[in-house]
Amino acid sequence: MHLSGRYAHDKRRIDLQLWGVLCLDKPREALLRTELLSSLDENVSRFRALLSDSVNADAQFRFIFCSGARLCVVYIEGMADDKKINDFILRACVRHQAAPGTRIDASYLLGNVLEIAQCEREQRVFRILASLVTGMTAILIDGSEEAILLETRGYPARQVNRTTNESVVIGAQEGFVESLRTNMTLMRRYVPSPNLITERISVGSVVPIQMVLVYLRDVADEAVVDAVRRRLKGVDARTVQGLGAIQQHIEDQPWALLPQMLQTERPDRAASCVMDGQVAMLAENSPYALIAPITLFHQLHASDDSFSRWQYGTFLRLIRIVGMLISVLLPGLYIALTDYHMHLLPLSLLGSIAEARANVPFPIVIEILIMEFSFYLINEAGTRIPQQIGSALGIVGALILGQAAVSASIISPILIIIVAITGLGNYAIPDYGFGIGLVICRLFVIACGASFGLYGFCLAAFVLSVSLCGMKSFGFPYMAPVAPARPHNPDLLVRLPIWLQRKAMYFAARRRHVENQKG
Amino acid sequence: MKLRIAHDAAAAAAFVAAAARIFVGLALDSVPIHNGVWIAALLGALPAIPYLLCLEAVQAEAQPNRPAYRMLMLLLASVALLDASEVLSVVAKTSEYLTINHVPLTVLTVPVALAALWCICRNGDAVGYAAMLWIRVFPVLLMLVLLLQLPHLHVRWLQPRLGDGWRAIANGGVRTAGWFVPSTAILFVSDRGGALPAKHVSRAWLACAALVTAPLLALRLMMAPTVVRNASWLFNLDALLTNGRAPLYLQLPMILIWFVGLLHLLSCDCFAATALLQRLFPAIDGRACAALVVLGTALLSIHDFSVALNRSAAPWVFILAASIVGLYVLVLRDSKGGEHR
Repeated sequence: MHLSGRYAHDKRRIDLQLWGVLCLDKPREALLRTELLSSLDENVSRFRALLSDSVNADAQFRFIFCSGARLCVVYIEGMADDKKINDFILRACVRHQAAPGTRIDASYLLGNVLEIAQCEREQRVFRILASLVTGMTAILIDGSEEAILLETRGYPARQVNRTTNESVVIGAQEGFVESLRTNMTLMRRYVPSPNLITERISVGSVVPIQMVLVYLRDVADEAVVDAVRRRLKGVDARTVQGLGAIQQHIEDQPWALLPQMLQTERPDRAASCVMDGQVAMLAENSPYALIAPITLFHQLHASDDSFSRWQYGTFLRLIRIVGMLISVLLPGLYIALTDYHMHLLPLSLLGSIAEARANVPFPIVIEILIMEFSFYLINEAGTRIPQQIGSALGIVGALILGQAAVSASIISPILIIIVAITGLGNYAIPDYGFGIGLVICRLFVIACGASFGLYGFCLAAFVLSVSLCGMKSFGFPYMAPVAPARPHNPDLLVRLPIWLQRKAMYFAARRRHVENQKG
Repeated sequence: MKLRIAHDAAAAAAFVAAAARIFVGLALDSVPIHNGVWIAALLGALPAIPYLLCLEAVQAEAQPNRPAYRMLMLLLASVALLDASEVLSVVAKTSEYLTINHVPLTVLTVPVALAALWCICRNGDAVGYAAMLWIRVFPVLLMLVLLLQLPHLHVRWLQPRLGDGWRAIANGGVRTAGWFVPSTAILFVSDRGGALPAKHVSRAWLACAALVTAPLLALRLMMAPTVVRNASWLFNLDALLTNGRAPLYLQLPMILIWFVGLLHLLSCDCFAATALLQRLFPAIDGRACAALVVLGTALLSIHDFSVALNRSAAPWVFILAASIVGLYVLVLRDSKGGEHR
């Protein structure tokens, strides 16, 4: 495996795949590297040591007999489903009567006794331990050097529910949840194809997180899948807190303001991306999927666009794009024009602005910064505030921003309109992270416009455009298929009828294959 | 850091740069060319076509160790550097004019120079693809300008006015051809092994350039005739931006085209100069080379030396570059046992 750059890391960790090995002391690390012995007591004592049974209240070791053979059922209380363990493991084992002289080992138990579908045999101690902490149950058998791992995960989890941040008017309403298995099931439901691959990967060296790569074989470009896989395996972190952290570890340009991967909490959207040849990443405890590679246009599209008729989809998309442009450029342009180029404003508008600002003591740039800060302060407070007192925030915001600030001549009414339109434009953007990135871009445009007028405004626009065109998402240009220009479906800024959209996506394997042959 | 640019990106950058150069030329050099500016522009575009085709042939058979090839690279780098300094000077002076402020020229120059440096450090594809992006925006802005200024445009003024006669027109034609030379430098350093086949890109570029220059020329032509014989370029610029008669607030889209076009031209020139220098001296790091080029550009731009030199040398730039390229192609055919044998 070739790893380079910031993805290079300690190869030992990749090769051994020793779960939790780095947080253990030396004797326990040595235990973890071993395989099972034939002595049940010895094996149990190892697991007691590894799970710190003396202080851990939830590690359960249950000794039973099955046709005279001594077994120990090991599981973590709460993570494993008690009902499954009682009905299909304990009861099945205790009640089973084997023929005299039968040797009770792992293969016999799997074939004749246990009534759970997903089971596997395992000898390596670290693998058994890793399975136990995720809710699986292990059966250790006296006289056997193999244990049985049984799928008994049954921890409490949120039910599939409506999405909270990516609501749509028309279309599916389900959202991802925190359970990885449920999310995988959702993906299977939306992409019912035998070519759908769900590939498990563990990320993090001390407390690893279970991840799944989801892609369509023969549709996703193998080079892209390999790049995603390589970067994930190359993450050099002791712990990884969900997909947000993963994204920061593996994106192409971590210093860029805009995200180079798409976060979506909608399984239908993730499925659509997978069918276009992109790779989706799911992780335990993350109620959304991470999609790569993407372009800027993915950040501006919403699920509604595809569900609606093409005229409505196009109209809504154009509104969104104009919203984005307003969000980034309007305050900077306003400052540039009113501060430096009054002659470029029609006289009547200039008169209105001058009249509105007559009693305002601050320069326009300060005025705008105050308003921007207040707006995002209310926004942030609104996100954190308990729902019961949420309405109070609306009153405070409306009164302070809408009325009191104008009455006190701190802010001009025109500026409130500008900031309100800007904020609305920002909220029209479907991706939350992308929206925050644009706010920072906006501050840059404001700074340039305030410093040098239209010259600064154009400079900022130019720098931002070069910056966007220099970005890449897993090696694919961020502004493709516009810059560089590539053949594409009429589904970027406008969305033409669905029967005209027959081209394979820019990322898709078939398309790459054709391009390579032509090139 | 190795400076690279894909051929499609270079073609887009060269296209925007050439269009912007014509735009600048209309404001700067229309005084010596007088009213025959559009005939001069057309005359200048004609010899640019064989020059560009020869340049492609030279690039296709790249032989960096040949003295003639290195001389050509040095010439293109110098022309690009000189052009960049002139553009930087124009950007700074224009902004001083527009901001109606008495900010020192150095203060206005530094941000643009830093932006150019930053763009080069993002590498050629970022510069070229940004140009490709703006190619979609400029026509919209131009249409807006034409619509806004429609009542103030007079088609009958499109009739050719020879002004000082054919001698001035011919002089202007060669001068205009010289404007294309710095823009072609970026094509010379482009990577032809890009994702898309490079066939016919130059021809497409010329066709697109013609499409863009047409409305620009139309705007210039439909302006009120200049009666001031020795008008300053600021006077000409003001006339260009507002068509001399349109209300001032209609300047806005034209100003956006002006600044963004100039910034593209600057970054394209700086990138071409840097990449050519790096090919001449491969040991130099791209970033260091870029810093040197931008510093040189800024220093040259602060004095009017580069503007004066460019103006006096413009007619000779094309003749010199075309001669070297033409001779090189002939030598190349000889050494390959070309068809004429």
